[in-house]
Amino acid sequence: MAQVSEQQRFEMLILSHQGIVYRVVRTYCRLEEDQQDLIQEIKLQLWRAFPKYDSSKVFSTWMYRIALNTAISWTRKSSRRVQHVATLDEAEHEATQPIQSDELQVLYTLIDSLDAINRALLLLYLEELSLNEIGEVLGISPGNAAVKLTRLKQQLRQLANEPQPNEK
Amino acid sequence: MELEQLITNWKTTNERLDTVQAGQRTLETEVNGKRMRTISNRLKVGPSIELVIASAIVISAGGFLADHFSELVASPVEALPFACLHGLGILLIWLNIRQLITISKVDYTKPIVEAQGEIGALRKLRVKASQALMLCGIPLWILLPITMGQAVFGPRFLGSLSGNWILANLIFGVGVSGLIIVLARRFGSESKFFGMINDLFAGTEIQRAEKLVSEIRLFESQDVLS
Repeated sequence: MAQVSEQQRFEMLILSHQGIVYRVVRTYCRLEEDQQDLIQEIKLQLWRAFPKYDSSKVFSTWMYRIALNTAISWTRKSSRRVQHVATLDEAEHEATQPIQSDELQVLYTLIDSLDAINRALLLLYLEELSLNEIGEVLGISPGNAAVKLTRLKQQLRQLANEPQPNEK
Repeated sequence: MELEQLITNWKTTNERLDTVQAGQRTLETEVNGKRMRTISNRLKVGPSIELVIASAIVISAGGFLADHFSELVASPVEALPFACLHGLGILLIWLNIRQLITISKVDYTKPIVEAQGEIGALRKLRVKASQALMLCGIPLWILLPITMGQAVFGPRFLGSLSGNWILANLIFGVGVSGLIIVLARRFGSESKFFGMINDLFAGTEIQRAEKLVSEIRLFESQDVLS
């Protein structure tokens, strides 16, 4: 009975935060097939770690840690098999139609140009986590996170202002 | 395009993508362990197989040495092949137990820098163990026919082999290692197997593992804006 309620609690928390899983997965992997695998992998790691979750702490921060750690490990494991897939999958393309693809492409270009840990930093910044939360997820001090973010933002601005390959 | 605009785009895009993705496949919550090929399980496969093989070697070699103890004390040279095999087996057990302990300690609830540092160190250890195994294992292949012969015909089998035969086979073992390296370089890009060996010998694998560790160290460092 206790097992069922634990599972139900887990299901509820996961369902209410499932966007985190999707966004982490999309940050690290572009292929639809691989995305499904990674979602399953993250879900399993979350379930395994759930007994250790301290409910006095913010669930989303805990979830980011596990999802990012799983995605980084998974990406490194599969990096020899799949390098970079530049195209967005169909669903993604359909969903992003109303937004100018150039603008989105800038973000994806920047994401792809970063190493795994900096990708995590960028994702957490785009998700508007506070410096304390970013530091907590990554395991660095808020001050260090601020320095790295400043540098990343400079890089982002530079890239955003650069003319894109299809711009004349 | 402004930075703020990029963030807005990110949010808008993700809201739509989340809806699409959730519609395509709701995040299933069946967590009954059906899907067992997780990252940590995959990492455990290699060391577990090697641990079983090494344990079998140590038990067999130890059994032989114990069974022929009095004969081998009288002629210690004849104990050398099995003693070498026993030693290699123990080394392999130690290496693989160390790897399995490290894998079991990997905790994804830890901060990313810490958890990924542990995984990086583990990969480095695994690559080094595979490198050592390949570099020692192939030239020492001669131990296999000698120990098999001793197991069948007794410890004195070693005395029936000429020094030249042993030397020739040792050279053959080294030659095979060289040939594998040449083949790996030649066919590394065409064959997955040779590609893996080439990466191992050329140090590409160790570079990859070291890159991960140094990336994390660099990220962790409290650097200041230049």
